[in-house]
Amino acid sequence: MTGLSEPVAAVAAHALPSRAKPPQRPLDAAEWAATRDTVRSERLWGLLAAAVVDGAFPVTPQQTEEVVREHADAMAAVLSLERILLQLDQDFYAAGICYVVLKGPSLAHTAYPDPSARCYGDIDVLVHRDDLDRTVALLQRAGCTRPYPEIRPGFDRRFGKSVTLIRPDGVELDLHRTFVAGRFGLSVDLDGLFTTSVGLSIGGRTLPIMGSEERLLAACYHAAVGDADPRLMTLRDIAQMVLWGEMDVDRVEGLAERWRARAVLARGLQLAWDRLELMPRPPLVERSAAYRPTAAESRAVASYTVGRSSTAQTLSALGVVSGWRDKVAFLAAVLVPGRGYLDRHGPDPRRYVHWWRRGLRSLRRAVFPT
Amino acid sequence: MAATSAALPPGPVGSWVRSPDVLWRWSLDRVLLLPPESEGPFVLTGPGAALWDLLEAPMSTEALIVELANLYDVDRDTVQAEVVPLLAELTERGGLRLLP
Repeated sequence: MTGLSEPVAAVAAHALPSRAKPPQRPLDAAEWAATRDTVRSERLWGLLAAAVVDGAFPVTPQQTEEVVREHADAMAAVLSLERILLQLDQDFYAAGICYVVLKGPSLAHTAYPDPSARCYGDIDVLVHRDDLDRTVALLQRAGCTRPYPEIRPGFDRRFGKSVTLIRPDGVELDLHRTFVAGRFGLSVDLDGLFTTSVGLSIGGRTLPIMGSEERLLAACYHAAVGDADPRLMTLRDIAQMVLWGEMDVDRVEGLAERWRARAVLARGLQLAWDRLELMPRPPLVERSAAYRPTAAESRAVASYTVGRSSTAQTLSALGVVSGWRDKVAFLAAVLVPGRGYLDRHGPDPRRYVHWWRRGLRSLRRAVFPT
Repeated sequence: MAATSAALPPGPVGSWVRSPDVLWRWSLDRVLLLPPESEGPFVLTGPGAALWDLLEAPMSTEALIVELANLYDVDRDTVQAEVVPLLAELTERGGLRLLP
């Protein structure tokens, strides 16, 4: 999100101590249209509805109607997603699949006093790497399709970030092995996420979610090195958890240290506080702001953000892949992807040549930056 | 407020609770419910939403009627005539349960 407008920032930071001020009077048609479009793309209807109900964001009767309609639609959508999640939980339980719920549902029900403030549009779960292949197979048997083939057999389970599946009803399921691709995703203690998981009661079932400290760190991964332009909802999640969540901040920092993610934590917190114009800074944010990443960490973060280079990410990831056998397997998969992966848009022998040329150009840029 | 009339039959005996397997969300002044057997969510507005709000803790039919009558400043007979069928419908649709 670049060039964040004041009304959007005020919505994203509603009820938080922020310098972003909502408008004094209802927005005119053009301002409203721009704000509404961003609210929609950033899934901020829950926060806008809360701001309208609280009288903090003045709207015209027509705009109120729009908020009522859009929020009800968004809530109907999340209820449908939660129903799918309950079915998944039942299926995973029956198949003995070890998993935790990520993002939307787990945050809506834990970080916010009212889950209707937190909208989401898909389902993300973190599956234990040993169960990933059979989870994909289970869901494919149930009719899900996989739009992007695996880069090479076994890559997802060993090094991948996630597998995206599309259900027959069009709902996207993201089966994560870890939070993000590359170096930062490979150094997370994934086994630990399952041993410290806790239960979340939804619809008569108890779903596994990560512990509160892990949830904050996961949100920081998504904000800091996930999307090139972090979602406002993710930044709000971070602020919400830091300001109102019950967590052990020493444990947050300890986990970040163990996961080699101090730079990720620092950047995630900084992005949240800067973009949402929050003040003052709690001790965790203050300490993180003082953190000075190493040169290697800075390069690794830059590979996800500035210019976003998959080659630079790969080179950086090699440093945390343990053992020569795994390093070779990782590099081989990235350099020589399977035919099925390259032919996902239809067979074309020239794709291998293009892949190599593009890879070499990118490698040259990463190793010899101008 | 008018006192409870003997003209209407009393509602079911027991405590009403939200069904634990219903999925639900507030949306401004209304509440969307999605019980397991329901094809899609349905919406409660006005007194229906107020009733759902009151059922954050288990309540008897009588207590619900009293609370709603006070809330909307109408007599209990009127509330009872509306609430008893609503409770039955919500139970039928999987949103509520009556505990003995």
